[in-house]
Amino acid sequence: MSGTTNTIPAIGCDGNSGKAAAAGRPLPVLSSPPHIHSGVSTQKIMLLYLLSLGPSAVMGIIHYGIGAASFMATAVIGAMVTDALVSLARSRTVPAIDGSAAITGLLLALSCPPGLPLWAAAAGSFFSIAIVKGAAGGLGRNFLNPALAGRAFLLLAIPSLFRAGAQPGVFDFSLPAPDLLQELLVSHSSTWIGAVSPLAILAGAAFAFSFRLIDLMVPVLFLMAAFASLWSAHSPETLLTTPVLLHSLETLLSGGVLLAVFFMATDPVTSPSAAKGRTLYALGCGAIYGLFSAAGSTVDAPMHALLIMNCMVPLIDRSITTRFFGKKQGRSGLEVPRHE
Amino acid sequence: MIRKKITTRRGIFFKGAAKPPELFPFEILPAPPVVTIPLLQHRGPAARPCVSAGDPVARGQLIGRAEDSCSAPVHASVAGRVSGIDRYPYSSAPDAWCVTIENNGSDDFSSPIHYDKPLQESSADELLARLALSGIVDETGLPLDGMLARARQEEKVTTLIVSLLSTEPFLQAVDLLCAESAETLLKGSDLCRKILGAETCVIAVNQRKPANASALSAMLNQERFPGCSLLPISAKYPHQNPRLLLRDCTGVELPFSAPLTAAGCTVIGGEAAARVPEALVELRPCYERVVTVAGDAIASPKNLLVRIGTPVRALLEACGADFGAIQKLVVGGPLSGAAVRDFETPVTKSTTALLAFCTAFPAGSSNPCSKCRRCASVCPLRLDPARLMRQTMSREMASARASGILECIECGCCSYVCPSGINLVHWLQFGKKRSGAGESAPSGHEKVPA
Repeated sequence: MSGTTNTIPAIGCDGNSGKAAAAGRPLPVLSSPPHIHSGVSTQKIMLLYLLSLGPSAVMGIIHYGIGAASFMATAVIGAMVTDALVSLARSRTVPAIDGSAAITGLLLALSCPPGLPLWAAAAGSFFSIAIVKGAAGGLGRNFLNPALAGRAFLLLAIPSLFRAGAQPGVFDFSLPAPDLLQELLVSHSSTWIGAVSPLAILAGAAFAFSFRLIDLMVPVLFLMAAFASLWSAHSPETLLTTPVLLHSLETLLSGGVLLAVFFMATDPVTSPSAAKGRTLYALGCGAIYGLFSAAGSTVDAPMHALLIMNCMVPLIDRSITTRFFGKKQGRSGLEVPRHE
Repeated sequence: MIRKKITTRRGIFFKGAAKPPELFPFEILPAPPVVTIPLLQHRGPAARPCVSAGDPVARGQLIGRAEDSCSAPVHASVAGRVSGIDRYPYSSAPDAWCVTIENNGSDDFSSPIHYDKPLQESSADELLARLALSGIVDETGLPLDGMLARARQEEKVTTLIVSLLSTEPFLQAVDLLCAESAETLLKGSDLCRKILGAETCVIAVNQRKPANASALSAMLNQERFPGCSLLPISAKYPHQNPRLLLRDCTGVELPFSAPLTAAGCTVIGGEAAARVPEALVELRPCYERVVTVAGDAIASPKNLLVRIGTPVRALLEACGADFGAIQKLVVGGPLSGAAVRDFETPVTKSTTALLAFCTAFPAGSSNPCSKCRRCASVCPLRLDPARLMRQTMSREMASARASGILECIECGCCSYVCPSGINLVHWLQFGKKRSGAGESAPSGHEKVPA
């Protein structure tokens, strides 16, 4: 090899590449592997997620009119502006728009009842982004679902406005199939803007699942546990009667529980990482939802259930981890990290 | 022992894996005027040079002697004169030296492998001793003879698994082997089985590359290799990894610290197996190999048979590379290979491919982790790379070890899927180094390189 000496030059920087650079040819870039990428970026994921919320948003606008549209727009824009301001304050650089703030804003708007003033949307999204997400360290570091925490904030701040028009939906299951389908498309519930149409939520969830944005284990277990706890809240002698079963089903279809189940409970940031942990989380959510809707408000129950279980996630993540390859099967107690 | 139904969960099917591209044309690259042969082309201690500057050498002549069973001998790939023994500039190992040979064009051959008995009459030990002279290195970087010798010593190994999975994109050496020299491959596998004293030899082929399986099964149907059987696996990347392949085949998950033979099986690479007849029958040591030259900066991608020590410039020229457009040059596969910047870097025994790209991914900048869990869902070892990265950042090395950081095989799947563009595998390598080095108590919060 020409140009090599008995000293070790910096890797790849011997005389020959020097000649190449002198000849005006750019040197190949050095980096550690891998050298290819799937091409899936956070922005793409967030855009697809927004699209999967589209059907619910459109049905909300159709049902509640321009007021709902402006409420959603205010929440989304408020969230994005807050996100930009928080990023500027934290790092003094203009942040990349990754779309996560828009999702938080839209979910907040969809989880609010219709008829709230626009300033509520702005205040809620400010709380969601600045306090719940930004103060915790930004994207991926919040322990509460920001949209639901924003909703909880509004519920505490302006309870009278929240209570004004809340009415869980009523489904008449005795209707013939086409009419029932129409009821499922546009229900009469006026609880969450996004909960107008159970079918739209399911369509959005199917879209999200087809792009593997959400996993179905948590929603399915959540709904099963919720159904079980709703059902078992009835008196023992009536448990097996049809009206009781249908009433439990009706509760699940009305209110915002479907939206919460598919688009909030599946949030990877605020749910456990191990599959077993997610099972526990989903069952816990369902059970708490059943308790709250039996004892209090069906409309707010999904929010209570998710926020309570969000708080449990760090503990679940500590105690339940995936058994990695080659690890002996054994009792997995609470894993306490030893600080060196 | 070997499972009937095999599924490879976790890992990646690359785009186009269902319909792999045609084999690139095969060509023999003429020996270059000068070769630079590193004496460290395997894991373990480097070979010790046994020629000095000015010595005449023949093709195939021993130029580096193996130190022990973890080291492989190195042979001259051209006939000519040794012009120097220098520091090898592309490795930071303290014992990395290289031998430069000027080709005199005669191509005289002298075999370093002694031939005293015909193959059929030789005992396994004699075959193994001959194999040790051939310098064959498995795709894991270990000398083949050392692997087989250790497997013979340790326990009764009843099954030999030959891996022909080749799941990484671009790499075609194994496909070429199946298409062109299926017989050599099976003969080599059978010889390895005999040396090992194993009862059966299972040849794992990738179901996504049906041409490979059909070529081999046609050869196996002739019943000349009764000990060998074919095992089609719909393999995701990186299931060609020996430990993963062993789990796929037998269901046994061995930790990184356990020897591969603990499950009564041992895994060798298909390329190494195909070299065994070359060494034992043709008495030809390992001084050339097939390199796939591809990438978007290459006009006509080819599979080249190249002498060890040939500078990559010669390969690129043979395939019509646009030198001005090359933004990144990778020696090895796109997920596990190393980026190089010097076109004089020589081909070694482990150079599976040479990839020239017009774009220099990754860009180098990354967004913060959004905890989307894609890395954890793709990790073939069920690790949580993002969590291990956080533990490495905050120097919680005991927690990282408890979460299995040392099991990481550095396949690069986590970095490949990360939507935030974080090079997770780089962090895990760093974390492995940090936990292996026996970190003491952190002195305050030290800033770590991002």
